[in-house]
Amino acid sequence: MDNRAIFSGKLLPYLLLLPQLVVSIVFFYWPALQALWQSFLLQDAFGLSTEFVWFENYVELFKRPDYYYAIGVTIVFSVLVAFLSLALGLMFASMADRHIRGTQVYRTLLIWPYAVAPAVASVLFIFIFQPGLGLFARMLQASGVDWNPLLNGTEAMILVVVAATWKQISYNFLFFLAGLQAIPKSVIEAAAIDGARPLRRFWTIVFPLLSPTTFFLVIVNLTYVFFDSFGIIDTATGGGPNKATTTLVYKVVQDGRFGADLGGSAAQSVILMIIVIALTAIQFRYVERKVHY
Amino acid sequence: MADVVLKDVRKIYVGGFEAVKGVSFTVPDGGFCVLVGPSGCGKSTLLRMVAGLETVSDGEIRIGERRVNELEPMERDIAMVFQNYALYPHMSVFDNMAYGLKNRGTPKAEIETRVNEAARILELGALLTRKPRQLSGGQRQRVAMGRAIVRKPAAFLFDEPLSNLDAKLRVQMRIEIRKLQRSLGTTSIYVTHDQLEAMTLADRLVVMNGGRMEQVGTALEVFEKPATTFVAGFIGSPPMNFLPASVEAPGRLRLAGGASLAYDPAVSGAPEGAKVLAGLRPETVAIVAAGQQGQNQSQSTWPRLKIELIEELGMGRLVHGRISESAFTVAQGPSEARPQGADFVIEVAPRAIHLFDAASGARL
Amino acid sequence: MVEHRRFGNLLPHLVLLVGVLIVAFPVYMAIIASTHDQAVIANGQMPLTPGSQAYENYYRTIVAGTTKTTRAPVGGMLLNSLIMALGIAAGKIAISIISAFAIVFFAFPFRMAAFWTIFITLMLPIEVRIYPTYKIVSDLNMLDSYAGLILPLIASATATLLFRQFFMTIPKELVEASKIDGAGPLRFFKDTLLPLSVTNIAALFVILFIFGWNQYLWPLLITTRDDMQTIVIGIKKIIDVHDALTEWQIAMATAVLAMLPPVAIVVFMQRLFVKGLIETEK
Repeated sequence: MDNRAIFSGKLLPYLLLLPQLVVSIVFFYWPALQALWQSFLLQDAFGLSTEFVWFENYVELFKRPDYYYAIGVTIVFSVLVAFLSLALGLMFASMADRHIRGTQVYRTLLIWPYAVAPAVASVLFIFIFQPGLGLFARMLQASGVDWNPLLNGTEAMILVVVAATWKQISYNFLFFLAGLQAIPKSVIEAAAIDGARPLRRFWTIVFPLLSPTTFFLVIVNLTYVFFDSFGIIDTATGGGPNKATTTLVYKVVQDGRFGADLGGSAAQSVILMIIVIALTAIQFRYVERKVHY
Repeated sequence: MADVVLKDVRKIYVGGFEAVKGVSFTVPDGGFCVLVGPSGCGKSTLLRMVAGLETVSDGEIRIGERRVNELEPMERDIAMVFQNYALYPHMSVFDNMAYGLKNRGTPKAEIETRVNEAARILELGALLTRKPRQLSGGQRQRVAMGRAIVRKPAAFLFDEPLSNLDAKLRVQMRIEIRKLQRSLGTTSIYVTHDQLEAMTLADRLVVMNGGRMEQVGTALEVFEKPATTFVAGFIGSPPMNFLPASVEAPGRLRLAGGASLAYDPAVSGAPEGAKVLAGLRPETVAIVAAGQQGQNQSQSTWPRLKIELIEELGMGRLVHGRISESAFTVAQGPSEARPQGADFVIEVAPRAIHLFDAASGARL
Repeated sequence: MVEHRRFGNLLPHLVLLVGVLIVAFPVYMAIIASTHDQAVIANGQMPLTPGSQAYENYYRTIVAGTTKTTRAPVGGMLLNSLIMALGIAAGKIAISIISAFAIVFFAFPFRMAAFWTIFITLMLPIEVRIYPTYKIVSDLNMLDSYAGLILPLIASATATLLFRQFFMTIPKELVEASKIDGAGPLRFFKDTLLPLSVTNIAALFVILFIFGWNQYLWPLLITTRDDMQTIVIGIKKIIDVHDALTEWQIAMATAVLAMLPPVAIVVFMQRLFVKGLIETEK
């Protein structure tokens, strides 16, 4: 790996590693392997006997319409949140990058939503959109829309998308701003002298040079949407109405909660694990690639 | 093709700092003008004002017949070569050079011809498909120039383009830039802090210090008749020596330590009794062992030189020492003998002495 | 932007102000709501300006508790959240820094194996291994305990990776000089490495504290006793009463309290926060 000036020690390194390894094994590997193992089992209704069934759980999963539905919900949710929060984050970042006075102040004012728990963010929006007393709900009601996220699936989706996007904008803003500030000013000036107006400069020079950051953020945003949004959905809609906001992660927790189909729930977990591993692997492989200058 | 005229240009930043304090000069069509001075003297700021990358607080800049103060950079018909080249990292060499033309809607066929021609002149033909990160420093420099010449602008602006290259490459590129500019005939303004670069490249030299223009003229004029002690000490290497003195009589100086020197009143005029700084270039001074002064002994008691260090250069040497309290350096050529012994005096022709007012630094 | 048009500078400010408003708006509404009484809110007549109930609402929230849900007053929840967040941040940093130290500065058999074992834990957030982890915690009798809240969340390797990366930038001459000066590995760690790592530790602490404070799913599952609830869970319990009788002003007051510590940290330790964020994600 490297040629640090190494200490020699027979026992010490193992002792140093022990805490983390123990915690990892007990609380990470053991559960993960258990989930994997369970996904290959089929338990009868009374939990009395278990049977090793290879991939039958997985096959069953893909035969269920509600699983496909959850996949659809997840895709719609992820794409909307990722796209909106990235676009808005980029817009604010490019405005903040323009050497105007007060960039620091704006930055402080725009990044603090990162500190807000997803569940709390969700509650804020639930309040604003609460039929009857929330400000936006009343406004919608007044303009003729029959607003009730508890009954209307699309409106529920809008609610969670808004809450999730609100929180993500600040994260993307921060990273985009850093990426923009890393582009040497002289390259922008050269482009200006070369006859490119601001918009053209943005698309032909700035955006391509921002691509490592953009790619990285897309991966991170997708990961966030898949997993961290559990808090939002659970507080806002409980996955409903009629599973309209049940994403894959939500489904895993929900199905497991009621304990009936341990094998199926485990299989869902394993599928999610594969997705995350894929996303993380892409992120690491890409981050290894050299940036332009 | 156009001339560039600056009239009383000023730059004052928010908060009051005045970076450029009223500079005026003209660069004739096809001329190569070099702005030279120490870091922070305002030369880069001035160049950027000509480019349109900084606003002009006061005064006027004209390119050709047009006043350009209010025009955006791309409307001024200029091209700039940056210190760190500022190539577009994600584009190939070809696309880097074609970008400016593409933005102006030049037809594709013409872009191809112009880029290929520039590539031929700068010997970049083999590199057209490469990206900047695959090129060496010198190659990137040439691409940056290619990007500029492809546009056939009214003026070239160079912002210390050779500072990032190693010494040998710098000399090579310096010659290439000059030859290129001569063959293209484009008006050019070049900024550098290196006085040697300035001397070898310039048709006209503008020496700047602290936001002000100290002198403007040809390289030779600036070298032979520096207008201030700053210019005298900045241009020429090793730098000019200064000895505090007073004018005893027309043609004769009394140095601080008691020695006297003869100067030519036709070269520098100063009233009797004036306090001056006598400027002597190291290469115009000869070292003589005490007791063996040359024939021209009239009117002078040559100053004594106390030698502290001798640097051997191979093609001559530098002798560092002191005359009274002042540091003094003599540059000896290859045919002069290395000083042997203990006691030395210096000899210098009267014509070679420059006189400057001790208080203001201005040439007398 | 290179252009110097007079109006050019107006646009960024305008857009950014809109951004700040969008971002601040929901929180503003919450703060307003927490200062009114229930009736005004329930009737849909809450104005955009603060009311006069601030003191009563916050007092009830923090100290007294509501009648609708048998739920502890928020004061206790704040304490739980604080313990959990501090525990996670401190715990994770502690085990990670010594692991990274071992991996970077020692040569021993199975070093790479150990590294990969730890590295893989980056891959899976807790949501994916939720039930088996629950079972283990339950088997270990750690339900409804601080240990149960904290331990499973310190298992992942982000901090270890960060420290490893940082340690690899330490010039090896420093280690050699230490050895010549007679320092053993622990001495080196205490006297040289730790002082150099202080900014990294601080930045990580900020990020991890926020991460810990904002945890939702895990505390939800393993705490059932009221006095073990964290404040983020507490909010859910309040609005779970899914009708207009929900005491919104209490809910909003709770939300404001839940946001306060992490947001305060981000605002006042912004530079450390940004550094920590950028370092952990690379």
